[in-house]
Amino acid sequence: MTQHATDHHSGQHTSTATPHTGLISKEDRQMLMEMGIMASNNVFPWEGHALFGQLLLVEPEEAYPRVGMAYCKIMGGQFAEAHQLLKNKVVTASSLKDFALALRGLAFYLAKQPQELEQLFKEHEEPLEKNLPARSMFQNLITAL
Amino acid sequence: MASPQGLPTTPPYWNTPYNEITPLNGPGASPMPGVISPYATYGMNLNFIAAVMFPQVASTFIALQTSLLNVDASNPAALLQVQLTMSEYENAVQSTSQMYASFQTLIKAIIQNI
Repeated sequence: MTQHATDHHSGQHTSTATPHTGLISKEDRQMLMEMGIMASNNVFPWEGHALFGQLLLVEPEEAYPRVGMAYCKIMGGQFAEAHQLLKNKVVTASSLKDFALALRGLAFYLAKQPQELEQLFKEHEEPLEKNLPARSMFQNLITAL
Repeated sequence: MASPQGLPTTPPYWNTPYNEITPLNGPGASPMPGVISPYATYGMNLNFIAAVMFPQVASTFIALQTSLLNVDASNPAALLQVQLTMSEYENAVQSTSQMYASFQTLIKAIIQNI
């Protein structure tokens, strides 16, 4: 499994500690993730769901297919399933864990659950200090509620 | 059918919007798999995003639209109501512009960090 080193202030990947050894290259993962997100955002929900489902089968030990599938679920209003995916240890032990928290915040926001949103933020306020995009998303969500 | 992790692998699935104010949420929005939704057109695309991600914009827009359609131009109180509704809509747009920028940054960061 690929190990990531992340500049948490910018939220951007800065270096790769070990060469990628998965079935799908990083560039292809990014392209497929973007395609799935675009599909989930727009009028191709089945395609988005199918794409992330296939990625889950191909790379079950990677976090990104679960994050993508959770995004698809959030866009579809299936918040409980999204939380379940994002709380999976594959995600919480990955470099995407802070982003997963932000997506869980988005799910609480869309489900109109302000208490859960604020509680999630408080529980993870310290680690989120290091991830500006995720923290910024949380702050906007809390402000908007 | 489910994967070894218990996750669905087949797409008997329809992304039903949770927001009740959008017509996308009607009974007709849940077709059988493989059947193209009558709402799945590019024309509805922006409404779909707006309703799911930015419900306050969608709701205030519909309120504004309704008040404009029913306004009595000879009634100052009704005109004031339209102005108030318009103000609410503008406030919703203003607040979501920040949200949208933050949301876009988050999605890009996720993709970059895969």
